[in-house]
Amino acid sequence: MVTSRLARRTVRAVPTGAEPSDATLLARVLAGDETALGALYDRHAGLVYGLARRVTRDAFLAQDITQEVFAYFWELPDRVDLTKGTLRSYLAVVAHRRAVDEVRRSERRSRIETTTFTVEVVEGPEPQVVDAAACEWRRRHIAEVLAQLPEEQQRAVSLAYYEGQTYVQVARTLGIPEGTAKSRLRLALGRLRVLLGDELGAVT
Amino acid sequence: MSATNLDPEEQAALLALDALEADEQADAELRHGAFPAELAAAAAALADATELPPPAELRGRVLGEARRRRPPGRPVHAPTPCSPQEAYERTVADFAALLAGLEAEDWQQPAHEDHGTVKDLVAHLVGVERLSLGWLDPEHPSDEGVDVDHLTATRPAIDEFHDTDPIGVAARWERAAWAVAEVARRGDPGRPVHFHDLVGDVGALLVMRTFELWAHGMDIALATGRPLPALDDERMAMMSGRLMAALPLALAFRGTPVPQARVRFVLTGRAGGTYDVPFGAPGTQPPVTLTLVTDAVAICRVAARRLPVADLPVTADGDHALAGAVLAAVDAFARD
Repeated sequence: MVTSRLARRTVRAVPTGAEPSDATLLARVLAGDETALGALYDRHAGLVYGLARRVTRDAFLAQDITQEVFAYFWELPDRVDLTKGTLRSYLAVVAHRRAVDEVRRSERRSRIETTTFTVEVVEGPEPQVVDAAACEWRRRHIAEVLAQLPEEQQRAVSLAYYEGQTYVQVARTLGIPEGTAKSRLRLALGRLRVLLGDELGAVT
Repeated sequence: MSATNLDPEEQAALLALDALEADEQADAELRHGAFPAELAAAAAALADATELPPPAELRGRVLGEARRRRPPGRPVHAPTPCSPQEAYERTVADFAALLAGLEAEDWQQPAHEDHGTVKDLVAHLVGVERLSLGWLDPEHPSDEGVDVDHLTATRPAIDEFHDTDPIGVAARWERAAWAVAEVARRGDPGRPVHFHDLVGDVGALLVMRTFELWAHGMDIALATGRPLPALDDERMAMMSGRLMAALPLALAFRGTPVPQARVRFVLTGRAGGTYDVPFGAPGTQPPVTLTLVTDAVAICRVAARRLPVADLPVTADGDHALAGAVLAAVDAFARD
């Protein structure tokens, strides 16, 4: 019978319990399927929110940034080029840039107002981590990779990436010349690239 | 400091880490692109160490804002579907251009299993245009009647033009096709039309004819070693949208029993979109039990019987038996 033959031969079924890949979900987002956006949010919101919160040290700002990152992604998903990197990387890059922009905007504002600006850190209760094991594994893995860098490189990269400092600020914080700060950051990132190797190109 | 003083490798690394000074950013992006791919990926990996679940209520807020910026259901930069009349006329023009580019030997190439050579195929189309004129104009009904077999009803046209030169056949077809367009344009496009074993409106007939001309354009292209004809996004969007709307009827037409169900079709590509198609009793909104993801152009080729459903790249998430039944009915309205 035609129907059963089709069911057997033509439909690439998603196995029970298997999650569609980011590439499949991206194609669905491009076609306007908002359930695919929901699935990608569930998969990557922890990354975007966690990063934004770490850089801004502000839970409310981090929520705004998370909203902005996913709304922007939904609005212009054709900006994502999976031949150049994973969707997860793309979202992290966009989130980081927006978080850094927020931090620097706050810095500028505080300079203009010539008052001390204190970033509010809201340490309210967090919802349960759904995929806590996966998060924990990734956290530990990156910590292990970072630990393989010389200590001065770890410190420089941490200031730049997690605290949103420019290389000029990194130089000031560490009391080193700007040229040294620049080369430390370049060497650190280059080494990270080597240590992370194939993981960087993996498209989920 | 000017960014041009920075070593390019250093500049790329600092860009990836978002560690440049504001006045250096634009120059760096110009040189390396907004996201220097590999370095940016290495920097982004650092984000894994910060993962933290967001507050539960944020999800609804994010999806709401996304919905506000781009309504769900339509692709990014969605083309505006053209009308069936416009689609038919553009496809007639495309088909005429294809015929005008054929060499003498092309006309003798076998193009269709039932109709024969390229020239026979065009003669068949003269017959179809004549039938269409009769269906559209009740005052001048076709001699063959309404509920006729598509192949046998056009056989006399193929015989009639057996000794006519190909250019003459092409000219006859083009005149007949534009006459169909002219008659279709007159009056209410929603007026009922009975064609073959179907009852629809003028638009439905023109959509079927657009599919048919596109399909035979593919036949000729394959027979003569030319690239397959590609319709513009406005036409593909209209055709795929009409196909989705017709699917419940297609299953009924095939006599396929279906449960009360709603199938989400996610059609990818520039002319795609997301369609929730309800099956079963009209007026009900059962939950989505199946999501099918496939390419908009590819499923239209299946509908035109120019791609075997077995070769359709499709992913099914949900009720697989329903997926088989629905996909088997996609070409229910194709007439060769």
